[in-house]
Amino acid sequence: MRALPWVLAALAVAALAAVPFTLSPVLVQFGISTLLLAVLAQGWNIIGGFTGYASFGNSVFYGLGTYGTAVAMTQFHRSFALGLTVGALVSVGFALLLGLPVLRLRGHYFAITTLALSEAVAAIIANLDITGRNTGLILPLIRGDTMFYELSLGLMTLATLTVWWLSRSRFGFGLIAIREREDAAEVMGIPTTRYKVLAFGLAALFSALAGGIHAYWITFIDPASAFDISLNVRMIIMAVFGGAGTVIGPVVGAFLLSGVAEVLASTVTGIASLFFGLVIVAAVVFTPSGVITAIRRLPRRGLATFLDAVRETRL
Amino acid sequence: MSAAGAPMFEARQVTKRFAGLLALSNVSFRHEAGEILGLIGPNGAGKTTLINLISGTLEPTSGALFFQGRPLQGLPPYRRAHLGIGRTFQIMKPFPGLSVLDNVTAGALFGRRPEREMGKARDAAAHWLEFVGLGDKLEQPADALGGPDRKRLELAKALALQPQLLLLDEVMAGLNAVEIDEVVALIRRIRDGGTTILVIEHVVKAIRQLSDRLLVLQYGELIAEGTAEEVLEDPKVIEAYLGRRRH
Amino acid sequence: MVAIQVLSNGILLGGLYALVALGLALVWGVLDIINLAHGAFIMLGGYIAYYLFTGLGLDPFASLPLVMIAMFVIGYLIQWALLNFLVKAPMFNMLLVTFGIDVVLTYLAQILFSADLRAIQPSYAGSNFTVLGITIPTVNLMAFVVALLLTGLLALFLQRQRWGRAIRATAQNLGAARLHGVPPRFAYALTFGIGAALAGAAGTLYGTVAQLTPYIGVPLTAKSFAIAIIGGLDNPLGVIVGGLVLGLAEAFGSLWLGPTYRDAVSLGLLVLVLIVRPTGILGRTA
Repeated sequence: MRALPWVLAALAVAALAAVPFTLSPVLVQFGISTLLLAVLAQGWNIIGGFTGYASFGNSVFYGLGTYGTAVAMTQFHRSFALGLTVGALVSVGFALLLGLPVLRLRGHYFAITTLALSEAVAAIIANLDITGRNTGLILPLIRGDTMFYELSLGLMTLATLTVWWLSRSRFGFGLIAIREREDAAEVMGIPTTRYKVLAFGLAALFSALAGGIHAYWITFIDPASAFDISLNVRMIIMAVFGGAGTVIGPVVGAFLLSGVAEVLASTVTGIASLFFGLVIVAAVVFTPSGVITAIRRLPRRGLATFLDAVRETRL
Repeated sequence: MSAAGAPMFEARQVTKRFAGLLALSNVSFRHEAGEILGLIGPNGAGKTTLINLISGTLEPTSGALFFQGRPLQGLPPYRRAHLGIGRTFQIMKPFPGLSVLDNVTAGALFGRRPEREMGKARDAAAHWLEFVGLGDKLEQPADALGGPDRKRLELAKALALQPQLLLLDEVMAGLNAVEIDEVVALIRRIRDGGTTILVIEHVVKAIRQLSDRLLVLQYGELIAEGTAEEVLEDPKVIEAYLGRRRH
Repeated sequence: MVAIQVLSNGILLGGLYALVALGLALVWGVLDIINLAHGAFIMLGGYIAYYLFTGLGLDPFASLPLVMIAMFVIGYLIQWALLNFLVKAPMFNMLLVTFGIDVVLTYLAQILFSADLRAIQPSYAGSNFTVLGITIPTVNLMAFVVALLLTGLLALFLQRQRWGRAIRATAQNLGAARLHGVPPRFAYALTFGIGAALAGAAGTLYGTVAQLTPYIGVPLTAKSFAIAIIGGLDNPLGVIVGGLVLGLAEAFGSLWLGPTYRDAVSLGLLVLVLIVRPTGILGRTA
């Protein structure tokens, strides 16, 4: 196994870990948000990029993790660690339970069902007293962005290592086969249902932990922000833009796109989002397989890489 | 463990109905271990449906299927692969985004004697690809292969499962005479290795050479069963092929 | 009786919902494209009608043809100049691009029209009439009638007219479309344009019975999905069934569970349909 990529990765992680001690607090906050988005992107990468089931509702796992943690900490006065565990358990449990019927659907139907599910859960939570209905919950306050930053970095590293493991393991191979041709995968001995549900659960786990960390950091949660639909789009764009099915693609995508959005946010609101929309459109047209794949092809084809992409996918 | 004296495979009164269309009707036969059983019949006779039923892609409307004496009812395809049933697809189904080697590695990883380590699985896959004659094309993208090579790939994928029962669905379609002879030799070698084989074919010369016994399906019914000579001289069979041409 | 009033409300709502979903169902059923910007098209149509009303005094029902033509052109151009380049890409690329378009349109509207609530209120806006003890708002009834008319017209168009048949052929088989003498790129753009026009009409009617903001796009797209799926994509009349089912479910859901559960009801229904009968009420089982 070549050592260079590992050395580089370790250096990158170390550099990122040093941020709270070297750079401004604003950047630390930006870092936390971006790292958590990267986790969500990796979570999506597992079920969407590797397994080929493009979920449009992973926000439900994020939201359940958020609320699991918050309810445990505010209504039952438990520790953060326990809160995170509760959030993760609820979320993964939900994934395993509903994964069975929902993963029987393909393509568009699956995408919409997950979206509808997320909205439905959000609507239910907005009506329960224990979750604070529409007004939401307020968590205990704790100062220290550094802790949250390092936690988020740790989670992102864990998620990325998991995806790396997927890319080299028998389980991950099975997921890829499912993505490529599910009926052939089944007759080749791959237990497709079991694997799909496990992948879904894995995505749920990381998304839930991200939600829990975010909840304690932000201190205030409500259904609208916890189950925010735009999270889905953002995590998918980041994963696809960076490279769905690759190991670091989603992370790269998260950092690049968050960076762009942050720079634009300093301008008039509205224009920033507008521009973001245009970036999405351009990215999808010119790099349909993601930035990482495009970068790999650049040395061979130069700028024609982008034209190739368009030609391959046009009507 | 198979029941003592049980054949490798047995179908009993198998019927398959699709919303109004009777694809298979009361089909019964035995397939003994080590035998090459040929299956022929006009298009639409239900041959691929039968393979789908054996591999688990479909379940019968009524009747039962047994593998080594053990009922297959309710077992999903992947479990049947683990038991030792391997099949090829008539409309070939490679994993498009993967290399030839990776396509076959899937079988080595998840088949009857699964290899858990990726490296060893790839080695096993390479061996099977050598066996079918694709040893020089391991790293090529699977969807870049031409027709005859695709068929070899399908075969290698099924072989990597180390099946005890191999179901071949028209692996010789579109091949020229030389290629057909090669495939016939290949199938014989597979049987010599201990695998029981069910061969669906239209190429009569090949099926005559290969089959220990022959089954004939027409409109979902088994109309003849016996050695190649017996069956191919049966007037019912002749009429089935030369008689009414519908499609 | 309250229940009959609720029934009436539900039916009127259902008719409008059918039109809301029609454009999405058409594009999805024929081109296999899920247009996440569909709601934004509805929003845009509503604003065009709004400005025609406040600027030129044009009654919204009279401005329907104008709005539809404008939206047709917009839709046609988007398909021709952009979406046609992504038809063969993996499915979520199309979802992403239409989402990007939705974002662009939403924030464009926010910048141009501001986030203020707007409503199209012609002189007869507040009036209603009573039949058998049920109150029926005039505008809602007019919207209902127009909605059903347009849906019926589309169904006829797809059955009878040459372009309509060509569109259906394209849905089956790109090669067959060429045989009909219609280049696929044109058939795609035409279909998408019609979808946008229908969305524009829905927006105009929506603006008369509810309020317009730049942000109504996403919830309307979500609702359109639900309706299209519940009714089934195989039959263009499916949206009528889907719209009515959803309209009634929301009306009675509000009555029995309370208004805050309204979204949960429609979403729960959607999930149920997807799991139990994904091809929808009027759909053929695969």
